[in-house]
Amino acid sequence: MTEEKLSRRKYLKYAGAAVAVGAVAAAGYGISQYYQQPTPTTISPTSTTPMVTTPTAGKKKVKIGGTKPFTGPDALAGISEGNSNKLWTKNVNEAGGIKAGDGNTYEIELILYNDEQKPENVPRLYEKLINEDQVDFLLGPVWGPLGMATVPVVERYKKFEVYGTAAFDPKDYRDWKYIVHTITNGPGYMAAILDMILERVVPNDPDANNIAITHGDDAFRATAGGYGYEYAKDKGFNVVFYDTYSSSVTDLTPLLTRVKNADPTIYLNGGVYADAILLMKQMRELDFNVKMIWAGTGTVFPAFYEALGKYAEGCVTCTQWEKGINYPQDFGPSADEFLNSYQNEYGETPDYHAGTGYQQGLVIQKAMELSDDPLSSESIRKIAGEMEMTTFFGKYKVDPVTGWQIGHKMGVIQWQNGEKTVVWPMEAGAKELWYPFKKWSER
Amino acid sequence: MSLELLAQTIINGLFIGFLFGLAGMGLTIIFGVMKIINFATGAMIMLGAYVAYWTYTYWPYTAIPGIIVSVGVGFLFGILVYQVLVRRLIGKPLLTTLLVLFGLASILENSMLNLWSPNPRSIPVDFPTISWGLISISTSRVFVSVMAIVATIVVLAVFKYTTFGRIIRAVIQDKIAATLMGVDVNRVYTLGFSLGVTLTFLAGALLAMVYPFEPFGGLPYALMAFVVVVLGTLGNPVGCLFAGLIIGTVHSFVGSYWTLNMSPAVAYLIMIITFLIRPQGLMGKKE
Repeated sequence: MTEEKLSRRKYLKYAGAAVAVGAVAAAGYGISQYYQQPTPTTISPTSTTPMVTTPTAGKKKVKIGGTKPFTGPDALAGISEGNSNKLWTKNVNEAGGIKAGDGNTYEIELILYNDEQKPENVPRLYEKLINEDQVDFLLGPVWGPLGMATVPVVERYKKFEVYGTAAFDPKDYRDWKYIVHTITNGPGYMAAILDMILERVVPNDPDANNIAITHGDDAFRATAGGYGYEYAKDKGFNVVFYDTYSSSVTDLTPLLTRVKNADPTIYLNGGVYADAILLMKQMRELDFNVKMIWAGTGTVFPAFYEALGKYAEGCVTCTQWEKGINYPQDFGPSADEFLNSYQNEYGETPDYHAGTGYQQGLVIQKAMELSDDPLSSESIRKIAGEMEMTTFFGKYKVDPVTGWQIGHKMGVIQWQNGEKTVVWPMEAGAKELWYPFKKWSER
Repeated sequence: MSLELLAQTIINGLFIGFLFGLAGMGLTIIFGVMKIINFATGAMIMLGAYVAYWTYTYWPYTAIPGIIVSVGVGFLFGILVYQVLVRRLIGKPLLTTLLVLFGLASILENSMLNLWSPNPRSIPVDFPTISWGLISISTSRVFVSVMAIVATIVVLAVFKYTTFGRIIRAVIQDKIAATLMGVDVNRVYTLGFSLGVTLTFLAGALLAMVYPFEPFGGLPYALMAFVVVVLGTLGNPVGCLFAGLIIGTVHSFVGSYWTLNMSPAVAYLIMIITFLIRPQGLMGKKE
């Protein structure tokens, strides 16, 4: 082996490369800081270092654990839900803890891991939570496939879990005994908008009965859109067009050309954020006008409005909860109290994932208050299956056997002058609905 | 009605075809010059889109500066990647290239994830749409197509009429003979690779004007670029553009007259058929 002398030329080359790499790294750090300014999380991005909120020493405690996708495509939703899990823990502990049905007061220790939005990580982390961390109860993650990945572990170890913002196809249900749900499931997403159309639009515009439905083909989009299509037919809508598309689609113009030719009055699409933006941009490019549009659940995010600006005005979408939806609650904080508490803690307005995260905690809290064996999964599951409550998030009532949410009702919001305005349900304080959707050329 | 649908279908297909062609062109030039398949194409397309988007956030009046900056950054990035990584891959087994460039793609994607978050982004350009009856033409798409055509013409002109182009062609034809004639092959490779990466970044910057994008969103474009390159003959930029138009039109017809779900499958079927009956591609000669 020959030893090569480092020439001046090579030295300069390596030094130059080092400076270039340093400059790129510095620039990257700068950009990172610039774009990360609004991110209010302090949660470790690694799955091995949990975020732990510990109670005061000497008091009885309940250990609650779960995972969230703190990194990955749905990280923002995971961070929101995790933030609210933490906020609930903090608020309850500051108020002295959970006054359980056995006469004891329990402070909460919360352990959250990052599942990196990889379903393959979930069983290992939930087993760790159950076997090593010895948690009493579990909080489910955000995103359907992650939620489904918790089910075998939860059922095997018979640990009570409150599912998170994770939809699932009811056909996949297999006699789960230890899980209850907080949110309206996937089949109810489009149904909420269809109910709103029937109640607020069709009486004034019979043409609104002519609708087109499309949706992506992954589990969530197919559940939201496929069940929505069946619901629309059941409710007597005239579905003039129905088709699906690959969820990894990069161009929707061929599909939109067909939808446009079917001439619907209202167009509903079971999509998420990326295809919602794509659909809106390409509808405009094709000058495809309808009187009302639901581009997908991603419409709910402020980033949707930021990306489309004036072209987002008038878009509607369903939501599990939103600022402006005010139910007269009989348990937990009011909507304003939750809103203020979240804003004080994280400096931003909570979205519906944050609402779900707080509701997860409230379900455990209420069930423990009613139980004389408050650390038993069997007892808590039974009570959680039978109890009812209305929180800021809406009604909580599940089917006692399946644990499916049957009490919660989704809301519908519409972008109006850059703000999300609640337009349904009427009992939650709905405001005026903008109808019809303004034509592209008139914006 | 059906004639309008037909016309709109063809227009849609040609518009996306130009983008597919441009994405494939970067890939095909890199392969043509140094026989390396750029498995990081998808990530580089997205990086080009993000650079354009980032520039746009500082200059939110027009998308043009973003395109120019993206092209410039793409060229420098190509030089950096070649010098640090790719030159060590020349002559190595395909598996080594695959693993290294796949690793690079992973690094780029995760860096973009950390820098710009997982949220899909979009450059909100406000080009008007022109309509005749049910037929609509988006001027943003026209702009993207014109840019793709101009890029192809520039690449062809560089290859045909400049000394650099002649040197590149000499290296493609016979590397050893070119070396004996005094050509610095390493320099040609550096510039050839950078040219390919520049075109890939340009495709990303143009894509950002009409489509939303996110850090891991490059794969579908990269797969289409591979289909286009195979169909249009490896190493042939003109073939690439034509193949892009064919695949774009097929994508549009399948989506408009059958179902969009089957569009990628039909594109891959075309690639398999090409491998079976004309492995040299549309523009290639039988060896």
